[in-house]
Amino acid sequence: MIMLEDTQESIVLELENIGCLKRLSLEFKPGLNIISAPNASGKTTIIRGLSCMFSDRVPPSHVLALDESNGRIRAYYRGDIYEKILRRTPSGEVIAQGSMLPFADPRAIDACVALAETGVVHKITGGSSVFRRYLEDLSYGSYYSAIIDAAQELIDEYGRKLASSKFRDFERLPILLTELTDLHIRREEIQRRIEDLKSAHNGKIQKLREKIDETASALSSEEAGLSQLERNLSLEADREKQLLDLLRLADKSSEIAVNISSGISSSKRRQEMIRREIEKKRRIIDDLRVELEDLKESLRREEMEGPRSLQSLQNELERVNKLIVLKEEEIQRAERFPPDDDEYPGRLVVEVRSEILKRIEWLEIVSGYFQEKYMRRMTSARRRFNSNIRRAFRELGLRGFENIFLDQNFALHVVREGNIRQPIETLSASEKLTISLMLMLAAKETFLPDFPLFIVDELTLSYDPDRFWRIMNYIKERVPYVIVTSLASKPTDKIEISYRR
Amino acid sequence: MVILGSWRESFETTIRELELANRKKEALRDLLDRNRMSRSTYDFLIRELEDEISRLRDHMRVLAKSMNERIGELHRQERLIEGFLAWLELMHVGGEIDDETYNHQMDIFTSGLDATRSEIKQIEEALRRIK
Repeated sequence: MIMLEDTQESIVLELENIGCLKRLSLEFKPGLNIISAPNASGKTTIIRGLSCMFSDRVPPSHVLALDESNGRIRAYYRGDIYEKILRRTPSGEVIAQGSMLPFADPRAIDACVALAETGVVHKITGGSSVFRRYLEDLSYGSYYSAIIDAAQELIDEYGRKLASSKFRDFERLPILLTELTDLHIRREEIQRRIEDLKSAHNGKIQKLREKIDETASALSSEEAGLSQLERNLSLEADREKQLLDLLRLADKSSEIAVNISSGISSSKRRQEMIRREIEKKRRIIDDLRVELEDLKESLRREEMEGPRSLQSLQNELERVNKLIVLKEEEIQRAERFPPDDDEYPGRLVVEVRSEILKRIEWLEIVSGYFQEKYMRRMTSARRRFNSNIRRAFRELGLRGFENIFLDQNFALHVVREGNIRQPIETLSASEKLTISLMLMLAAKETFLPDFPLFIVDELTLSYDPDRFWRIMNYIKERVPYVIVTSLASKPTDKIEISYRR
Repeated sequence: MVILGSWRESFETTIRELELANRKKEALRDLLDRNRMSRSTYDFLIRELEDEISRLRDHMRVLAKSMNERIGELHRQERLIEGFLAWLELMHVGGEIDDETYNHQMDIFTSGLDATRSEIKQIEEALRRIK
């Protein structure tokens, strides 16, 4: 840590081709260094040149003289030389190379250099009141927030990826499975109906066959009966013929002849009766033959055609089977990336999805971890910052202010006497400058307590001189080197530096 | 007329969902067995299905409990109506109520008893389906 007694030595700054200055050498001594010069004579150039030696946030192009291609800044400190060479490249870019002062810290430009046009002063005078970013940069919270932002960006990216069409098909798998199951149920239903229909058809055929057998048997029996009748008729005709032969031989008036005649008549009647029975039998047989033919035709037709509406059911079954195949293909497509996919060719979506979800989970852990660290750091930074602002105002004894603090949202609140809150933009120019300097000092003491410089560039223009120097003297007690630029009060063409211990 | 309890719709829906979930499991298994689906995808989908089945079974258990309670309530109702019918019979035999009143009351309470018994039967059948 740099103690005040350790820094009882000068910082010598040499500038060559810097801003509007061709060549200049200045010595900064411990205590208050007041650089006075007329307007546009290089006061701000000196501050920029010096700042360039402790913070890389000063763009080299803002430092090198516009009409020069090379420039140099050299600082002597504690017996060592620190030098930075600035060079304009053919493309017009300005690059800086060399060494920085040993206490260099890029954050010092925000906490220890009060320039009217940048930083806190610019913020306050512009009426802005939110200091989250300012504290983030100074407390390195911005590194955490950058990590959190990067993690969140990746989480969003993965989230977008999971919501893309590549994964949407996979998300539809449960629906596709339900549709496939519905098709299976439909197929089983059709198969059951086909089986029922076939069973009913087989029953019908069986009945037809039984009926055919029955009819054939009846026909055969009737035909046998007919044969018997025909035989009986033939026998009866032979008998009649024999009786007629006998009658020719017998005495016509004899009793025998009478009996023979009676026998002939009886035979004729029997023959007639048999003929009628034969006729009846033939009709029955004809009917049975027709019936048998009809039955056989029905059987043939039934066997050929099959059950009615079976065909339409089989067509429906075929259609459902095709749909099942298509659905299975759809499922197969949904579970895998296409072989020509540019990111995951041929890979299983479930595995890629699981990997992405694991990454998201991990990123959320990282984000949560750094969020917590960020919150802790920022809360601690805000508390220390508030405490340092309070102490500075108390020790300076500035009238009119009761409290100045940053709230949980890092918004600046100015509380005047009587607990009246005053919006930043309604403060007077002088009050805005006072608050700016106090905030910067608090920031320096909170985040850069060992940094030995505090630089104020030409803020005296709209300032109450008594209050300004009171503040400068207060800062001088806390910082080894305080450098203030000021407009020369008397006509001069020189840059002059005066010292106050 | 049979008055159905509120359990019926929920029961039928849950049974249907359970059947469908089990059918989906079979379809999945079939896809896996025929190499129509990778083991990883199968595991992912079956896990979701098992979760759904487990949720449905839990719901069914809760439903069965409330159905058992409903049976108890219906049995109490049955005993109450039977008691009232016996009392009505006595009143009628004793001539304390006329035929018209007796017949009217008898009709109302008999149909109430039928409805109660019918619901008991339906719930018991439904519970058998769960087992």
